[in-house]
Amino acid sequence: MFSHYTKSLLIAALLLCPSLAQAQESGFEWSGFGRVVAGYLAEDGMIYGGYDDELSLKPNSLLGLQGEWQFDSKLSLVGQAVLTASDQRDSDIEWLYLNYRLNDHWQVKFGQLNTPFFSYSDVQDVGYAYHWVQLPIEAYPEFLFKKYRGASIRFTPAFERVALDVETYYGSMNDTASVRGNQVDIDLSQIYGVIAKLSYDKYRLSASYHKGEFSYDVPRLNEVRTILTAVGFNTLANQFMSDGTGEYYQLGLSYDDLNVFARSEITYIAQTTNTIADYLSYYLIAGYVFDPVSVYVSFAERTSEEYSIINTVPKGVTPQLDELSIGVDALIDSFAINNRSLSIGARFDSNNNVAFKVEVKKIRGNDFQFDSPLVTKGSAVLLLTSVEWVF
Amino acid sequence: MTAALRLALTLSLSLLLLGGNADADELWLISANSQQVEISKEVVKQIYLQGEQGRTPLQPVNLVKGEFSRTIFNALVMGLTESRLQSYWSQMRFTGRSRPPLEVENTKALTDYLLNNSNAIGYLVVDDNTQLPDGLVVLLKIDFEK
Repeated sequence: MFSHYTKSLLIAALLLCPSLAQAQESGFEWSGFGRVVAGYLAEDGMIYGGYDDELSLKPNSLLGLQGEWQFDSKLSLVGQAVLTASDQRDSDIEWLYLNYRLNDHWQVKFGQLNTPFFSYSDVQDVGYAYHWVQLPIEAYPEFLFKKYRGASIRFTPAFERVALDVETYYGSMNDTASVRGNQVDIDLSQIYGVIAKLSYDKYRLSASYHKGEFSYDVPRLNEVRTILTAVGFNTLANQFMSDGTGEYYQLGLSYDDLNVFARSEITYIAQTTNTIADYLSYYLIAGYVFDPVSVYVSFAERTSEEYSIINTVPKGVTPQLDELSIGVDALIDSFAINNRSLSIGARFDSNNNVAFKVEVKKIRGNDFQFDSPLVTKGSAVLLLTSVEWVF
Repeated sequence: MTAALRLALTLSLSLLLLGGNADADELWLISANSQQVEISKEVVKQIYLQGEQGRTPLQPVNLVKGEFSRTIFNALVMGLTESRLQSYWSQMRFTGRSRPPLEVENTKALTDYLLNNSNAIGYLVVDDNTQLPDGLVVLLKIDFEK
C-alpha cells in the first residue's frame, strides 16, 4: 500500500516540478539522527514503557534518515524513514510530503506527516532535540496517533520582536500503535487541528486544539465483548465501545537562557468512547546548564476521570462467572490511567553533535504491564542512559 | 559583567589563547544593505532563530562552530549555548519547519558573502584595528568587557 502512496507522491512532485532541467540544478540533501537507549526497570513482575528488569536497548534505540529533494526555491519533497529493532513498532517511512513555500510567511505541506499534537510529538524520535532520555509518558501516551495523511498550512507572520507560528492541518490515517505491549490497529477517519506558538525573547507560549474521529481494534477488548455477549451480558458488552471522537487541548510555556531552562505543558484529552478515560496530564521540567553539561529535574502526572462502565457480572455465583467478573474489572481498571513520575537527569554535549544522557525515574501508578492479573498498581525505578546524535 | 557573558568568555578563552582577537571588545552586526539603518538585538535573534527559510527579507549568515565571533554572538544575542542551539535546530530540521542559517568558514568568507548578497547579515567581533571592507555597514554594535 505504501509503495502505491510513494509512487503517487513522486508523480505529483514531478508534475509540479517546473522542469526537469530545473530539478537537475536543484539539490538533494541527506540528514539524520540516531539514538541508542539502554533501560532497566529495577523491579520484577512489571513492564513500564517497554522496559523490564533486564537491561535492554529496546524499544527506543533507532536510526532516522531524512532526505530532502529541493526542486526549486519553493518546492521540495521530504521523506523520513526510521529504522528500529523494537518489538513495539516497525521500521517505516514516517514522513513523505511535498513542501511548498508560497512566500516568506506561508508554507503548505501535502502527504504523510507527523501529527503535531504536543510540543515534542513530532520530534519524539529525535532524542537529541530534548533533555529527557524518555519523554514523560504521562503527557505523551503511546496511543496518540503519530502520523496522518493529509495537508497542513503554516503561517509565520513577521513582527519586530515577537515570532508567531500558526499551523492548521486536516487528514486521516490507518496505523498500528503499541499500547502496553499490545498491537492496536487504529483507523483515524478524520483528524484536524490548529497549533499556535508565540515566542518573545526567552519565553515561548504554545497552545493547540485537535479533534479526531477514530476506531480501534484491540484483540483483548473484542475477546471480552464476545464472551460477555455469549453469556448474555449484552448491555455490558455494548459499553465496550471501540470507536468515538477525541478532543485534545494543549497549553505549553517555556523559558530558555544561557544557564537556566524551564518548560511545562498541560494537556487534556476528552473522548466519547468509554474505553479510554478522559484525562488531564502535565509535566514540569527545570534545569541548569554548566556547559557542556546540563542537569534537570522533571515531574509528570496523568489523572484520569472516573470511568463510566459498571461491571454487572456478579461474583460468588459460579467460579466461571467469578473469573469473568475479575477479568472485566481488570479491563475496566486499565481504561483509566493514573500515574506520576519524578525524574532527575543529566546531559553532556560533545562538540560534534553527539549528546550523552542519563536519567533516573521514579514511577508510581497503574501505567504498568503487570505479570500478575491481580496487581493493578505499583511503583518502580527506571534507569535510562542514551547516546543521541544528529548528522 | 553578566553571568552569561562570563560563560561566553570562559568558553572562548582557549580560542583567544590560540590566537583569537585578544583586544576584541565589540560585536558588530554587519550588512551590505545601506537601506537597513538600525536593527535591535531582539530582532537579530528572531532572524537567526528563523534560519535559512526566514520570514523577513534579511538572510542570516553564521560563522562555523568554534569561531570566536560565533561564541560571543551566541552569548550576547542568542542567549543560548551552542549545544542548546544545536538541539533547537535538530527540532526545526526534523519537523520540516526550517534549517539553520547558512554557515561560512571564516570572517573573510563572511564579508565576501555579504558584499555579494545585500540582503544578508552577519556578525564580527572587532577591535580598534578592524577595518570593515568598503560596501559594508554596521547595523548594531554591542559592547562587552572582558
